[in-house]
Amino acid sequence: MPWIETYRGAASPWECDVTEHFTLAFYVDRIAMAEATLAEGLGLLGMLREGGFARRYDVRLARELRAGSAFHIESAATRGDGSLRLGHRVVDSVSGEVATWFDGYWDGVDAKPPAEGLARWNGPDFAPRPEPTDLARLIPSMAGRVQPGDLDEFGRMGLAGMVHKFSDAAVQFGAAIGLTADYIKTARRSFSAFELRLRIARSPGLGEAYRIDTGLAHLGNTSLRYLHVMRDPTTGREIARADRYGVQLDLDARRPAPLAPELRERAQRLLLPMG
Amino acid sequence: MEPWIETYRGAVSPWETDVTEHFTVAFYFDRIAMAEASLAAELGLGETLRAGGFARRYDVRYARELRAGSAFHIESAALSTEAGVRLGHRFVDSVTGEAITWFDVHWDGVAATVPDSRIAGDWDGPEFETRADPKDLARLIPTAAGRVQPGDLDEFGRMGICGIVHKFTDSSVQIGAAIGLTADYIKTGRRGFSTFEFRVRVAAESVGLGDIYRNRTGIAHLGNSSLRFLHVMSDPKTGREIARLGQFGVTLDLDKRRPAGLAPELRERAERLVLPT
Repeated sequence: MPWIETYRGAASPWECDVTEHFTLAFYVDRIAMAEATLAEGLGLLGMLREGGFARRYDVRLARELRAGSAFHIESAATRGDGSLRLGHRVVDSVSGEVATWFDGYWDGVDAKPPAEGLARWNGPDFAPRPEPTDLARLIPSMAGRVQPGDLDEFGRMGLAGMVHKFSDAAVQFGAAIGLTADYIKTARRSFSAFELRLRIARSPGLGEAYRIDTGLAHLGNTSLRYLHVMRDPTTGREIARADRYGVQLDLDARRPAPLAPELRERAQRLLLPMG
Repeated sequence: MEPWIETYRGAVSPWETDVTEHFTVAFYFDRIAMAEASLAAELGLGETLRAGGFARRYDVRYARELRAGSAFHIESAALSTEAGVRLGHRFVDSVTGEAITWFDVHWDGVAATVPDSRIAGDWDGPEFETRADPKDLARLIPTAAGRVQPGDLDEFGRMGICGIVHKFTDSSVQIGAAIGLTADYIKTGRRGFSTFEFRVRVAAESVGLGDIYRNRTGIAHLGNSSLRFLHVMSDPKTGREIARLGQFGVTLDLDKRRPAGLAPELRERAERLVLPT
């Protein structure tokens, strides 16, 4: 059973963001279902339910989904030695084109699906990106407590819950460089992610506090890379981090657009030292 | 106590509207779930509803639209306790006082005693004519699949009526796209699908957190501007039917808010998905 359909549905208008497309956290909402269904098919649902291992998701957003888009997800195990690797492709149900790839890893999980159960990964390769050498210059971008709506079917803070918080952090960080709600509305410019690197060390439970700090790991002509780190504010222990690569988008042309000089100036002040 | 009681009061939030630019059907059911539970409690049937284990039917007529910012309330009453429990709910525009949507609900096989004074004799909702469902469902196409998530649950911890209808709405988007009523077409052609009647059937055995569902859909009627979608939700492991929805509506001119004939290329695609009746 290499590739199986693990989700089918649509993008609702209330799942779209100020960039006027399906927001990242709702992709991840569907991937959480797809992952559990694939795990069940592989006999690994109990392991996923139990948790206790780190997970990584490398995501490439190639084509936009917008309000009313019909889509489905195909999923498969793509490797099983050392760390389990699970692939998911989000497919536009109208055109049949892959809109987004999720390359997921369960670190240290030595599950070995049968060879005939492994699929060939036809998504992009995700090259390592340089990491910041010092996180002291991250700025506060989000804080709160895990609420019932953040939980997944296993009763922990779910993938979608986490990414919603990282989206809030992106809005806060955007505002800090001048990409405010007013600016987005009047200048018709916004931030659109094309790549996400999500690392989850552990999943907090109901009522646990978290905070997110954010910095800028890259500043190009139109491109920006936000690094968000979610931590337990009491212990400082890292919960998750999201590395979000994107561009400033012209909301009408749906094409990258250079940052205005005043925004660039602010953004430069938030650049992190890179290794 | 009057037979009719107010069981909900509130408003339509902008994020509860859909691509047809009005209050989306699943959120009507979000409010009806509350109204139904409040009415059941008033009638002494709260525990019956909580325990579940009986099939429910919801016949719904949408007469006027609610849009972002609309203020509305729901009035509810028991209509009968003969041959099961029958409950009525009417959505009322809080500004005009007009009833705009009616829910005629049946709890099949539930024996209950309600005082005569609590039975409303003035149901002003429509009669729902019998509609024949197709006998052969082999030509239904896949339109939704997923797992029951925490947000799909109702206050009793089962997949709620709102969660079920959200999945049927996804199915409606998928079958719409299959006939060419895509997101792009809706945006540029300014046409959407607007429902005027719902027939929901929910099986006695409910589904819970983490359970898998699959929806399949076909077209049970194709008129000039009208379409009737038949959606069937089932458990893919056992094939057991969880719920079904007969959704009658029209293609709507989004600017005039009036029915509009299907474009020929959409009609051609739709004809291929019409089920034998």
